[in-house]
Amino acid sequence: MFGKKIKIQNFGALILGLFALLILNPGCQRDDICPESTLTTPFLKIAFFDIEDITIPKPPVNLTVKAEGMEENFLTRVNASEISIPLRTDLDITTYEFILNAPTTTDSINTGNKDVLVFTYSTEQVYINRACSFKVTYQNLDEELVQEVPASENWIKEITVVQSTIDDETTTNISIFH
Amino acid sequence: MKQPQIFLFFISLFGLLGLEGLQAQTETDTVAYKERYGLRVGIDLSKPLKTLLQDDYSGLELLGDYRVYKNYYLATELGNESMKVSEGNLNVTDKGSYIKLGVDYNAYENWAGMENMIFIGLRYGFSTFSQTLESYAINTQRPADQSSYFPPNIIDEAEETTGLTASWIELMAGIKVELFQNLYLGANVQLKRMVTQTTPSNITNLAVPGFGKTNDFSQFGVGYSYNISYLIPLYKKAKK
Repeated sequence: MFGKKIKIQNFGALILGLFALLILNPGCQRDDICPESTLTTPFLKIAFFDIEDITIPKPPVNLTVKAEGMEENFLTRVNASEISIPLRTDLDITTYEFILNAPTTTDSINTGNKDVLVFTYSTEQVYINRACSFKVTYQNLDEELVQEVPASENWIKEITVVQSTIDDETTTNISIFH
Repeated sequence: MKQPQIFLFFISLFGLLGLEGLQAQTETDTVAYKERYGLRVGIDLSKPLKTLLQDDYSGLELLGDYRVYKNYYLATELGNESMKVSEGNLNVTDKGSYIKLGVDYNAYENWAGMENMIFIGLRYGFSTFSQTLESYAINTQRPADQSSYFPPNIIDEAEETTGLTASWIELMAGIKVELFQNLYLGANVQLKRMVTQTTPSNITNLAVPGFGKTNDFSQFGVGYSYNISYLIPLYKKAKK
């Protein structure tokens, strides 16, 4: 290239090509939109089991889940043996109300059985990329069931922390026996 | 914010089209004449213009080249830039200084007494800078449901990381046209590839002074310059 004088017309094309490169910027993916499939801040995954036989999954009947201080329910009257709920990223504590046999909005007589669970943890902020910003992962997860009097008022009989680190969407973190 | 860049691009493009007229001058001249050799110093025009037009940018770049042999020039750019990168959920400011060193090769056959250039250049760039994480939001977006249950958690305590460095290789193509005696107007485009960089412990460099905006998925970057420079002739040498 340097040995022989290059043709000026070719050179003009090269410059125009570089200008085109500047505009089109090929070979580079768009990096200003966070893809929906991106794994962001994970949820706490809870599995429910039968207290009589702890190997059998047992969905709570009409379970409503609501964080303390929030107006809206996170889950309303679900019947699932596994649920995933978000934890606060700005605090090291999130308090949830788990209401068994939760009433419908029109039912004013039945109040259901409300158990209060306090989750404590530490948080770590992890950078994803420029479009998705940061996420939080949780460590040292612990739980505490607020005891009622008498103890039989609690529908949750036993809780076990299975995995105290929350950094994915698939691992069950807590087992609740009822 | 893209508008000033597009504006500058078209100015550069018109400058380039204006040069098309010079293409007719490629006839070989048989009469021996002397060419001026010297030091050309200049200033980038696009960066002060961007400083005026954009609130989140300030920059200045000085440039120089020295003709060492026939069509080969030693070339350098020295600059300082401060640029804010806003990504919606993430705001970062990168600021610092840089130097680019390299060679320009003039592929243009001048008429007697002219020192215009259509050149390609190669540079090694080095930058020392700081990055300030101004504010960011914790992403709690879900694939199924884009809204989040809890109120957004936005952290806006600025966190600055100093002493960052980066180096890159840059391919350049451009023109320098003599407007008046010894006064040149130049334009070039740059394709860069990052070689090394140090980043803050918790985030990547979203932009590097001299390199420009980085890309999450590749090591390449692009840039342009629009500049004016003055040739200080030092000696004359017969063209062979």
